[in-house]
Amino acid sequence: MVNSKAKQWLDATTAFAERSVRKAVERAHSSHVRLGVTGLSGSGKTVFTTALAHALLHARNEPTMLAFLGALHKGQIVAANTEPLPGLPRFPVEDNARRLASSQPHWPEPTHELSGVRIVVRFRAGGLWRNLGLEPELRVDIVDYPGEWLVDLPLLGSDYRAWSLKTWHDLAQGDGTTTPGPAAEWCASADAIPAPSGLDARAAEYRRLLAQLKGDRFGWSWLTPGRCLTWTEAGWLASGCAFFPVPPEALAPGPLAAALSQRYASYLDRHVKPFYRDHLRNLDRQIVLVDLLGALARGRDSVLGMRRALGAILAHFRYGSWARLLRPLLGRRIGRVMVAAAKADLVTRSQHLALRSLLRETVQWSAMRKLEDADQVAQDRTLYAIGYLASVRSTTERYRTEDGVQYAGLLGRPKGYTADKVLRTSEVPPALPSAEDWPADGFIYRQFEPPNLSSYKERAFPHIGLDKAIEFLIGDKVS
Amino acid sequence: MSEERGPKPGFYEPHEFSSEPAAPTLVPSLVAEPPPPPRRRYGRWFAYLALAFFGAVLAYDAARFLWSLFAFSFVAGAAATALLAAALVMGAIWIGNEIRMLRALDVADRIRAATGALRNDTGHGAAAEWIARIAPAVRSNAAAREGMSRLREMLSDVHTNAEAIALLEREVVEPLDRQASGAIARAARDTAIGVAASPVAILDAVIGIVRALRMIRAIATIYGLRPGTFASIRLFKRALLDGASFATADIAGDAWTEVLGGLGSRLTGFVSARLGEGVFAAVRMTRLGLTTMQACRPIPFAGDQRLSAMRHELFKQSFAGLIPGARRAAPAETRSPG
Repeated sequence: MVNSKAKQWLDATTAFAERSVRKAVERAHSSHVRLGVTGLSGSGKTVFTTALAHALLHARNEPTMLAFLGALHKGQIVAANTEPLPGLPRFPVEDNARRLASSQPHWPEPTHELSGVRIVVRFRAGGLWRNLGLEPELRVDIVDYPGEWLVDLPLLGSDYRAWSLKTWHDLAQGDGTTTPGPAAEWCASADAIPAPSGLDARAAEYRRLLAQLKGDRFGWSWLTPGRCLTWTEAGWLASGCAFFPVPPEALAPGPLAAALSQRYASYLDRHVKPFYRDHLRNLDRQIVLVDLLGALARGRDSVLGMRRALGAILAHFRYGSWARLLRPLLGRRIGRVMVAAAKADLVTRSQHLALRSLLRETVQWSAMRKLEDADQVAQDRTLYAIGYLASVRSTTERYRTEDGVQYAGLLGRPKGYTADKVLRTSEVPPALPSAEDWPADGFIYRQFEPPNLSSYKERAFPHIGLDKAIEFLIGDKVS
Repeated sequence: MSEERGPKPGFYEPHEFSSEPAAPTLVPSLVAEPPPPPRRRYGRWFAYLALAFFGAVLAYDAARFLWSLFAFSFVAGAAATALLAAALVMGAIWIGNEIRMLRALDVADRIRAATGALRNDTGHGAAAEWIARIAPAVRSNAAAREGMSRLREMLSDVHTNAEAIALLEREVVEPLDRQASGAIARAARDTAIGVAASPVAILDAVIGIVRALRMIRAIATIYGLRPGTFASIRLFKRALLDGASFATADIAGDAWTEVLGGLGSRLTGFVSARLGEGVFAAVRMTRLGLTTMQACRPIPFAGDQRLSAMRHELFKQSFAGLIPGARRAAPAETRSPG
């Protein structure tokens, strides 16, 4: 009797010790990645996050959909699930995926508020630990935010006076190219230097101007403050930080400059700094989504503006990876960054190489220009990749032969159409054409509605290059 | 900006386009190998002429023999003629088969050249054509067949040729590599033991050559080449050269024994020399196996890094064979359920 009890106690203790050791080793092998999905408004951040989470959740159902995810094909990925991120509203992965895979599919709504999701991937440890059957976890935290918020980052390095001078100059003179009419009109209006009682009225006008410039015709997505467009006009005015640029002569010390400077500082302190500190500063991995095709379709000014915005935004991220032990002391840094031309399904596959080439030129002009310096790359120990992807592929290719030459078009349902059409797009230029060489009819690329994805509820959506992006961003953490 | 050709940018009705692309044109430069440098083949012509002469002598003798048999007895003559005819027919079939096998080796060479060229190609479509050509050759191998069916599901029209070749390598060729590595590890182990146990140099060479021949044939069969005798001989050329080195190792081993013997530990010297020869033979066999893999693989190895990875795999497999229970740790077909 006593023997039996002792044996039970011994067994229980042994099992407990084994569980504890296993858990401790698994915890030591688990890792936590903060993945920054970066992109201007309309670059496809929400669709990317949805497609990535949906792909990982259902990866095991049909591994062939993610051909280049190495760990999946070695049988290492065991399970995946999503969790809310502490302190943030839950990013609606399931709702977005359900909408995409419904009988009347549509893209997720543009993001207006901050939300987050944690993707937990359980995988089999490799190497020496393989035989112990350990299943550590990889937790991938992704925060989704309106792209407009990102363009405010450059404000952190400037004060109201400098911002106003620069913005006024841009609006009045343009970006060295053509000046959009509404901006010049706004600058030339009679109340360019408003009375103290007219600040809110002028701020409301400025907000309407930004909304107009952000439209398809101009696409000046880099104009600040970006947040004012994600709020209603009343909300923006009630926030107490509705500021706008004034002519240089109005910046002399006085009540107007003081009031606007105070609003500017309040905007930074209450909105921009906390967002940057909590969600952007401590990233481990980053994907920068660039809607090059959309910018090309809008015009040369739009590409130049986007290039400028990217340059200013990317300068605020910290690249280079510390040794693991030093991270708690020195803070996190981005060890891998992928810059991807988003929506690659809006051109035929033969254009992808040119798209990547154009993207390379675009980012080399921006903060990534340090890539040109090989020593710098070795020093900051960051892996960079340039690619193209379509998180959810909305078109398929169709072909037509004329005079013995085969030409490809894109079959899909264009936005605003009820039936499928084939679109022949413009050829993507491998480098940005000069203003003289810009085609008279512009570049023709169109947005498409999502296709019928009802058979993809339990497997990754059709995509272009999403698997390669996942492999690059987190592949090393699950193998 | 270059002037855009073809249908103008804009919307078209779906029926104006077709769903299937025209078959991609396989660029001739990918297919054709560089022509060999011109050589004067006096030796080969001598062999052909000598063979023709002795063949004629044999034919003359055979005809005289049959004639004499017919003179002796019609039945005996007819039986001998039928026997000769049957032998000739079988010989013709055998030669035809061998020629077919040799041509298969040439086709394999062309495929390898093409897939090697496509490895860094950013175009589309051509890799799928070559994959379709490889598929029948590896159909008899269960792992490759399974990999090929997975590959077909994975391949999409947006994959570049380089991506398609990378997937082909991972899904189809790497399982075959693992099987070939196993064959090499077994051959290396057998040779090491055989050479260490054999008492004379000539036996080392025989063991080396025979085991190398079997290994080469096994590797070629794994990659779907199923070589006949002549095709094997082409692959064996290197084996014969390698066989010669086994004997050299034996002589070198004796010299080592003399040195150690002079120091007073003749037995230790003898044992260590035999083991050294065995290890040397195993290493040569492994190198020969890797060379054979290179010659049989539908995709050429990409640089030294790949070869070193294969060597690592081989040593791991050999290690797994030496330690009981370690084989389970060797790479298994761990694949998540589809």
